[in-house]
Amino acid sequence: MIRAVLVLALIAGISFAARSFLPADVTITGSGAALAFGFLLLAAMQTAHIFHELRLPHLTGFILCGALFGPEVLRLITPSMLQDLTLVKKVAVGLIALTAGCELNFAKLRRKIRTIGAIVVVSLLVCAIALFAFFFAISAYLPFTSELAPAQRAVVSLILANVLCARSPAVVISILKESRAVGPVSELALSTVVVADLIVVITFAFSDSLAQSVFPSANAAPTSVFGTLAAHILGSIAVGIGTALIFALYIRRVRQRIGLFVFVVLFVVAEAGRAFHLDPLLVGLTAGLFLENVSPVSGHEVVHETEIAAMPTFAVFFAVVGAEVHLHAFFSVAVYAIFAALVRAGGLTAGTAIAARLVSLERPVARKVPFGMFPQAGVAIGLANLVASSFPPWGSGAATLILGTIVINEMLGPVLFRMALVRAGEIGRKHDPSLADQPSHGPASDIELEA
Amino acid sequence: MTEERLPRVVIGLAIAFSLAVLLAQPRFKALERRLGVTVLISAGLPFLGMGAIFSQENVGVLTPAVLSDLKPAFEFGLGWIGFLVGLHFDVRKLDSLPSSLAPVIAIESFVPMLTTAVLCGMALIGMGVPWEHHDFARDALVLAACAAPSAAISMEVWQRRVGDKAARMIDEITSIDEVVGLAVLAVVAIYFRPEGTGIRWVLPSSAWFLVTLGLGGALGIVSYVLLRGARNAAEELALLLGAVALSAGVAGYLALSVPVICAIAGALMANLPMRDLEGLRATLAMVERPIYLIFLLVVGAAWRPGEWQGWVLAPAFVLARVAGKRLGAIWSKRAGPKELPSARMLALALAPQSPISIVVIVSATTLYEGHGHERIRWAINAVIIGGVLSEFVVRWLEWRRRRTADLTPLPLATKVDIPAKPAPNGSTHPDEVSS
Repeated sequence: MIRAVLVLALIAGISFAARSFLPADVTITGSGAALAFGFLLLAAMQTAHIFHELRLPHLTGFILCGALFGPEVLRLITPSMLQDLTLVKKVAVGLIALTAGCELNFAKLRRKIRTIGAIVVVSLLVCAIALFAFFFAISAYLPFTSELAPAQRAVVSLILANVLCARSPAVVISILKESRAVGPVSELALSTVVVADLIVVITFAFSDSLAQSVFPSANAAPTSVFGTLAAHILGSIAVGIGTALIFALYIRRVRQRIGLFVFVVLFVVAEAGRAFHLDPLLVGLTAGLFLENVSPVSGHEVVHETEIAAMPTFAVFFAVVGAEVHLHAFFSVAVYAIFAALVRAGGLTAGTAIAARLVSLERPVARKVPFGMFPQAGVAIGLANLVASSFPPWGSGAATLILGTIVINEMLGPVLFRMALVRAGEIGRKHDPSLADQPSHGPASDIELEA
Repeated sequence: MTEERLPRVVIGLAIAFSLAVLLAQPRFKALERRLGVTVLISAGLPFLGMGAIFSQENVGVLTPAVLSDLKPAFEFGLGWIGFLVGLHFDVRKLDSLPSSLAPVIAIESFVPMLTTAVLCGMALIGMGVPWEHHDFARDALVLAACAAPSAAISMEVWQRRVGDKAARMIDEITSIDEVVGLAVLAVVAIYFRPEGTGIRWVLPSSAWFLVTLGLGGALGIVSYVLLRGARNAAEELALLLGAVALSAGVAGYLALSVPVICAIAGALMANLPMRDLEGLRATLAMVERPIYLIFLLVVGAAWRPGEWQGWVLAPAFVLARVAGKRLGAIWSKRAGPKELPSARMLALALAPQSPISIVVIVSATTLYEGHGHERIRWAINAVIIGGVLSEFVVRWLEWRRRRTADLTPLPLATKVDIPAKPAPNGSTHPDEVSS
C-alpha cells in the first residue's frame, strides 16, 4: 500500500509538472490525450491497489481516482483531454459489452428466463413508480419545476424516473471480473441489468416523445426522438450482428492475434458510431450475444483472447467516468439527490422482493440481487445529457439532479454490490487463467526469494 | 465528418487496420523471408500509398478529424518503439564486447550520417533552400539521423555467411546504431526547438538537455517500479501500457521527442535487474509491425508523390547512405577487431535501412509541424523511398556477389515460425525488426 501511495505521488508529480508547461486552459491534441490515458491508467491501478488493501472494489478506486484528478477537483485532466479520450472510452464500452454478451448463454439461462423476466419487469415498475411519486411530490419545491403546471411536472417526473431506472452493466461486469465471482447472484445480477438497461433506453424513447409533445421545442429536429432512438437501437443491433460475423470469420479463418483484431474492429465501430449515432454498448452486447448463442465460434474464446486487455480497459474507462463525475452538480442538489438514491434503492429492493415471491426465488439470492442494480454510469449519464439538450427550459436543472443522484450510485453502488457478493460467497470462485500467469518482468530478486 | 463520407471512412479504416494486423502474421513474415524482402517493400510502400490515396479530398478516408483521432495512438506508438530501442541498450552486453568494436560502431554510424548530411544538404541547396537559416541545419541533421540505423540482420543467414562471432558483432552494431540515430534526433529536438507562444517554460537549450535526460531517467525509474509491483501478467501488461503512454504523453506535452525520452526510459530499465528482459522485449516487439504500418499509413497522408523535390532527395539520400556505410566499413575493418568480416560483406550487412529511420522522421514531423513542413514532406519521401531503394541496391549487390563469389543465398522458408522468444544472444528475431 505504501508503495502504491508513493508511486501515485510520483506519477502525479511528474504529470502536474508537465502540465505546468502550458497554461491551464491550453492542451495539445495527441500528447494531452496520451498523457491523460497513461496517467489515468497508472493512477487508477495504484488507487485500486490501495482500495484492495482496504477491501473495497478496485472499480471504486478507478472512479475515485478519475474524480480526484479530473476537471472538477485537482484539474490535472482537463475537459479537452477527456474529450480526446472519448474514443478510448467508446472502445472500452464496446469491449465491456462484448464481454457481457459473450458471458450470457441463452441455453444455460433458459431455465431462469422466467425469473429474469419477472425481476426485470417488476423491479423496473416498482422503481419507476417510487421515483415518479417522489419526484412529483418534490416537484413543487424544485427550482426548475416549481413554476410548471401539475401535468407538466408529472411529465418531468416521468423523465427523471425513467432515466434513474437505468443500471450499469459495465459496473456489474467489471465487479464480477475483478472479484472473479460466479454463482446465482452474479448470474442474475448480470442478466437482469443488461435486459433492464435495454428496456430503459426503449422506454425513454416513449417518455421523451411524450415530453416533446408537452414541451414543444422551437429548435426541435423535424424527426421524432422516438424514430431516432428506434433507428439508433435497430442500427446498433444490426451493426453488432455484422461485427459478430466479422469476428467469427476472423477467428475461424485466421486464428491469430484475435485480441488485437477485436480491438481494431471495436475502434472502427467506435469511430463509425460517433457519426452514425450508434450505441457502442448495444453494438458490443449484440456482437457478444450473437457470438455466444448463434455463431459456431464460442464467445468464451473471444473473452479469453481479450482477457489480458480487460484490466487496462476497465481502469481507463472507469477513471474517465470518474473524471466526468459532476461533483458541483451533486453539491448543488445533494439533499434531493440523496433522497432520490434512497428511493431508487428502495424501489429496486422492493420490486425484486415481489418478483422473487412470484417466481419462488430463494430468499438469500433475492435479497442480494438488487445490489447489482444500484450502480449507475454510462447509459444514465448519456440520457441525462440528452435531457439537458432536449428540454432547454428545465432540462439542465433536471440533468443536474439526475447527475447528482448518479454520483451517489456510482460511488456507493460498486461497494454495496461487492459486499453482497462476499456475503453470497461467490467471490473468487471463477478460475481466471490470465490472473494465474506470473508476471514475466518481475525483478530477479523476487525469483530468488521464491526459490 | 459528413455522413455521406462516413461509410468510406469506416471501410477504409477497417481495410487498413485489418491489413496491418494480417500483415503482422508469421505466415506473411515467412513469405517475406522466402522472397528476401523487408517490411518496407512488402507492406510499407503499399501502406504509404494507401495513406496518400486515403488522404485525397475525393477519397476522404484520412480526414483531418480521423487523423486527429489517431494522434494519441500515434504518439503512443512512437513511445512504444522508443522503449523497445532503449531496451536494447544493455551496458552489461556492451562491456562484454571487444573494446575494438567501439570505434567500429562509431565509424559505421557517424560516417553515413556525415555523408548524408553533406550530400542531402547539397541537394537541398540545389532545390533553393536557404542554407543560412538554422532550419537548414535541422533538416540535414534529421536526414543524417535517419541514415545511421541499419536493419537488424538475419542471424541464420549471416552466421552461415561470416561465422557466428562476426554475425554477433554485426548484430550488436545494428542494435547500437539505432540508439545513435535517436541520440542525433535528441540533439535536434533540444537545440532546434520550435519557438512556441504561450509556453510557460522558457529555458536555454542546455536546460532542455538536462530536462530530456532527467525526464527519461525519471520515467524509466517509474516504469521499473511499476513493473516490479505487477502481480500477474495481465496487470503487468496494463502497467506497461500505462508507462509507455505516460512517457509518450509527458514527452509530447513538453514538445520533446517522444521516442528519445522513451528510449532513455527503456535503456534505464534494461540496465536494472530484471528477471526476464527478453520477455519484456518480446512483449514490446509483438505489436511493433502493426505500429510501423499505421505510422506509414498516417505518414502517407502527408506524402505528396507529386513533389519532385522528394524524388530528387531520395536517390541522394540512398547514395550518400550506402556510400557512407561502405566507406565506414572500409575504415572499420582497419580499426576494428580482426574477426570482423570483409569490408564488402560488412557494408552489405549494414546497408539495409532500419525501420527506426521511419520513427525518426515521423518524430521529426510531429516536432516541426508548421515549421518548414514542405521540407519535412520531402524528407519523408527521401527516407521511405530511400529505404525501398536501399533494399533494391542491396539485393542487386547480393545478386552480383552471388555470381562472382560464394555468397550464401537467402534460405527458403520451409516452415511457418512464430517469433515468440528472441535469440539467446540478446537480439530479437531478425524478422521482428528488420522485416
